[in-house]
Amino acid sequence: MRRFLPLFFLCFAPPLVGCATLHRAQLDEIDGQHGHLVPFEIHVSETGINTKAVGQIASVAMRSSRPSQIASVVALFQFGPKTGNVVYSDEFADAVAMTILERCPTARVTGLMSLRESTNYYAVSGEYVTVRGYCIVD
Amino acid sequence: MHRAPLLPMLAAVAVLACGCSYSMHEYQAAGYAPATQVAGPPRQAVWIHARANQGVVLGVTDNTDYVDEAYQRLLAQCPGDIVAVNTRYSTKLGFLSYKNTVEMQAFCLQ
Amino acid sequence: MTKPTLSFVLLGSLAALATLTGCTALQSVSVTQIPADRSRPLHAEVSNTAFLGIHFTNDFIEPLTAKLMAECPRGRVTGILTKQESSLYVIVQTRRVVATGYCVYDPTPAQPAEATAMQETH
Repeated sequence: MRRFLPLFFLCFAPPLVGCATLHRAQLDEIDGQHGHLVPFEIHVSETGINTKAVGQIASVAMRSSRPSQIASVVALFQFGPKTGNVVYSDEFADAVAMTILERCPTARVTGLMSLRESTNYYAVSGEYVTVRGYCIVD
Repeated sequence: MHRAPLLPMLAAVAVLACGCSYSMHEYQAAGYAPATQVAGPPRQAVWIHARANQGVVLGVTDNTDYVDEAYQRLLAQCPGDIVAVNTRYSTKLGFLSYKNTVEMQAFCLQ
Repeated sequence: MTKPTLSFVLLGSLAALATLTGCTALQSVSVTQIPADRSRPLHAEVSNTAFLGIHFTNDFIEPLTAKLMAECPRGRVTGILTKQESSLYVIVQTRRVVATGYCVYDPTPAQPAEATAMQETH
């Protein structure tokens, strides 16, 4: 039981807390002169993987250094600038543009705030794109 | 002690390292107000998009011209006002190299 | 004296290439709505270089807006593409923000003619 305590801590303690990070925030113009503003929010996400952390957890579970070594090799294939953890599709936010028009069919939109966030649970993370704005209604 | 077979493990590494990992850096939605001509009859809106890439080896590069390239490609598709510009900046990660991508989606008002 | 090995030569060439070229990365990009009238393009940039990438202030960004406005007197600057870059040359880092856009002059609304206006007679 004692040998599983570090593994238990690694797996379950971080998800109870989570680590929220704001990577980017941008704010567009806000025009309140042409009608009543109705807020909306669009939130899309993708699961991110921390390869090194996965290797460390597997090494602790298997009591072997081989998973960490494999994770180091995999990391060579994930070379480049990173914001948050790596994801397996970069197109998860492409639907936001059409979703904005679904929320505001007249396309009268203002006050757009675009956020790139992530919540880190050590080995995995939630990689989010959030867009908040206002529909201008008469 | 039983040693795990090397070939399946290398195969697993190859599958994981197939270059299908990405990093999403930024997404911006902006410019939904028409640039000019706020009065008058509604105009026809056409969906346009443009994309440009930059391949980088070992992180050695001296420019970010691919952003300007994507911007010019977007402009070339529309002689009228371009509104509702959604910009995505991401990177496809690879073996000691990566590919930066800027993709822009927008409405062309004619 | 031993001859340099091939790997040493390759590593040295790579280091030289990296030193001369640098490592330039895009930090942020933003685009606003773009006008139909693109006859007056604008360009402005600001930069800041620091040893070891240790910057003590971000004031280098302040002149950017004024530079754009100076190129478009009494006009409207729109269609702005903003890029924030960072370049690393071994021990020196340069931060650069580049803004390109277009200057437009909105047509002034026509003034209605007054019925009681004096007219010159020749």
